[in-house]
Amino acid sequence: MTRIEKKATEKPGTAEGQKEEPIPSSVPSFSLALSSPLGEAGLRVPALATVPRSKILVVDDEKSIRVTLQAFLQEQGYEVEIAEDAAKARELIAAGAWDVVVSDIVLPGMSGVELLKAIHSTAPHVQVIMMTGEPTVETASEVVRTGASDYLTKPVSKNALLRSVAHAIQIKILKDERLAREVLELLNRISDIPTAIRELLQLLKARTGFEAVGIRLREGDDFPYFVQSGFTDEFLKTENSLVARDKNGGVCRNSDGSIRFECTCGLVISGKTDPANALFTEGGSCWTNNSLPMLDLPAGKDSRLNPRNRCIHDGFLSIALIPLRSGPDIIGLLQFNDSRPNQLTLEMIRFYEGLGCSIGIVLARQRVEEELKRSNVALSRRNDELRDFYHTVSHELKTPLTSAREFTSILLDGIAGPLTQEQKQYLALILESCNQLQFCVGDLLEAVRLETGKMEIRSTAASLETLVANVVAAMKPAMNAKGIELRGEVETNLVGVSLDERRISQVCLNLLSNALKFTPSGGVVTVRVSDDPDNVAMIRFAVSDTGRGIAAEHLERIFDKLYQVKETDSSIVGGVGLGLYIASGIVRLHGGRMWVASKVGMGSTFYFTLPRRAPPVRHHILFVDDDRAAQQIVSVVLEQAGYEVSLAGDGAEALRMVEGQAIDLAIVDLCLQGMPGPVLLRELRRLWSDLPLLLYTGYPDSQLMTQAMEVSPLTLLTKSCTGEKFVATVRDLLEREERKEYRTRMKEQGSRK
Amino acid sequence: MKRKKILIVEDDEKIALAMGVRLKANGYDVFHAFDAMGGVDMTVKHQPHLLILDISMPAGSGFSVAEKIQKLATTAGTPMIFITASRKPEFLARAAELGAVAFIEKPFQDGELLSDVRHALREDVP
Repeated sequence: MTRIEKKATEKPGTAEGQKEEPIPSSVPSFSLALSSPLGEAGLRVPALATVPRSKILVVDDEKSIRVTLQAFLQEQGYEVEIAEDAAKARELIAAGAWDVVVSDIVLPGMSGVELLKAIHSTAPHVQVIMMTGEPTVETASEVVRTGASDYLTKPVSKNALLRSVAHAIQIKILKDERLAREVLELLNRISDIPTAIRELLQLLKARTGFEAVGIRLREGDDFPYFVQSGFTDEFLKTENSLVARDKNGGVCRNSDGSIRFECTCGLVISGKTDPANALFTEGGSCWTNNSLPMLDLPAGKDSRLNPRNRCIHDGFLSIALIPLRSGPDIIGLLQFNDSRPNQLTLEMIRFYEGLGCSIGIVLARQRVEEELKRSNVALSRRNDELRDFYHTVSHELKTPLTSAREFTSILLDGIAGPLTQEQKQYLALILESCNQLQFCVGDLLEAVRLETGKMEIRSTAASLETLVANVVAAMKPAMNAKGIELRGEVETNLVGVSLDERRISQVCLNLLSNALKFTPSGGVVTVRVSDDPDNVAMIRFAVSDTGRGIAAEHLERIFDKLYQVKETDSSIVGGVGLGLYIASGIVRLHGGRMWVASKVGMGSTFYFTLPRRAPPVRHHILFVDDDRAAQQIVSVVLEQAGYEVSLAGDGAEALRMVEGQAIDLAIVDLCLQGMPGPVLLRELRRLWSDLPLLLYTGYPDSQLMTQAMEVSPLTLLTKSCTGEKFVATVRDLLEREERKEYRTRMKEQGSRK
Repeated sequence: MKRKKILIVEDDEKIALAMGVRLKANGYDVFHAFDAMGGVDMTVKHQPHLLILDISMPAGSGFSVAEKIQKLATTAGTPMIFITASRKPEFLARAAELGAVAFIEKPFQDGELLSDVRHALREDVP
């Protein structure tokens, strides 16, 4: 509306004194619609340079004005025609597709406003610019209300005209861009494909104003209308299916085996359009502003160029069929039908082709996402089934095993009476079988736990000497019985290692029992722990034997589930084949790896590496305070500083929490409900002599304070301190703790050397 | 010295019998219940010194027995040992919550059952 006012104050007649704004070139560009989607799809789409020029119609009863304005516009490269009255104007508009109409508001036979209304009813996409010699507010408002894009005052200066026309063209483009944006936003917002397409159709119908809009999508072999609006039921009865059928209802195929589709829709979907034919674009669309001539195709031409005539019989004159593409595939079709002729322009078709690609890509992506979701659900269900299986098997196998073992043990203990030597011997054999069974079941369940991600590794500071000593002690009897020497060696400079002792022992025992199996009497088995020569951050275990060795072809697969080295001359030496799979899995969960070096006839060495320290875990802080607000504030401050925070409202809750999880630092408020602060501190100190304790209080002078200070070591912090001081104190305490550990380690190291 | 009473609530008859034989041979009086309801009834009736409860039973778990007897004045505070074939962390946590003295996984290790029973009845305390 500002624009109109400006025009009203413009000095008539002169173009001087007005700043020359750069007039855009005659060729508008559709930046959004024709950018990357097409490029990515790699289609046969013409370059932007050949986008046709805009068509302008100038309507004025004065010849000089017509000629002048036409000259102005043609100079800019626009395609211009002229009309001297409303009737001629309407004739021209009906006959062709226009972008902009520039018209006098007073015309013989019809007022400009009536013409405007008439234009909009036949060609709603045309931008109309009204010209007048009498700029009154009433006319201005009426013109704008009826939908003119702009309003020029006569005499019209060249600049004003060109600016107005360029602006009108821009409005067209912007409307398209807005539509493109709306379409893409819609498709991205709605993840459910059917809903997205239905809403897309509504949007397109509303924005384009076409009478009938439909979207065909692939369904099995056919491309029925997924959604449509404006087609009659009779139309759909015959037109919904595109598959050509013979008289028996069977599907017709082309010579290359592909399904034959009928009708022009079918032609577009097959991608078999001929760009030499004026009906088709290089983008594979079919369109016409007047379908009647299509009925008169000469015989011999592809009959599908001749639509089933339904569209035409139903009176649709403007028809556009635009393929929806996803990469090289045509996955559907967008159809616009209208009974008014000349509703379409080539730019419009190109615009929708671009949109069709974007729509196709999004639909394809959504389909992939749905597939992914479905397969994720299936995988998750399978994991759950595996876990249920695990628990059922666990129960069903272990129950009879338990009673078998127990009764054998009861008999062997003489509870049911004295036994002969023979009876004892046989019972011992039964017990051995039970033990074997127990190991197998155990292995099976471990493997399932590994698969379903339920195996937990709990790393703690470990003494490697103890670990190796224990493992050696456990295997010594069996080794001795077979006459094999077992040795354990741990290099002296290994301190500060943390690992899951139970699990690593399990790994060592597994490797040692394999060594036992495959080493003959008189052999030697060694367990050795040292620094990893290739990586200073890791340690390396090596279990060597002088056994029969493993052939090269087995080395790769030996860690696979259920893989067993089957020698031709001997039977399977026991075990389900899961041991190495589980052992290597445990090592992997620690962050290390396992491998084997072996020579047939000489022996094997199984190596595995482990990181010296478990990956750094966020320090865990417990904050005890009955004030909710304080809890909130402190937890936010500490979490932002990178710590994990647990909150407790009183002493009992605090003690419950520390029992369940490892805490690195406890911050305690002096005044607590229930168990007093000092008592809680004393309890905590009693449970862990090395847990850093921080007393946090607003009342530093009190009896409670004195009591609290009896607990040692204890750090004090007043509630009036700043956030930075708070975090700094916490950080210092935790680092001090680490430094203490480090000093102890160094001292240990020093004393060894 | 009067023999201590132990109630075994376990739905598998063989395992229940095996446990009973071993405990009787070691000087305890043993009673049996084969489901949760029976477990509660027998606890009330016999007032055992110790309860051995199987967790996974088809018609009510060992936990449900524990919860019920703890609400009754005459039986609350009875020491409990839970046994299970599957050492799920949730089971462990729940057993701890209910104040269990021990948690044993089937099959039992040699002597595990006896030593836990003795510990529960404070017979290993000098």
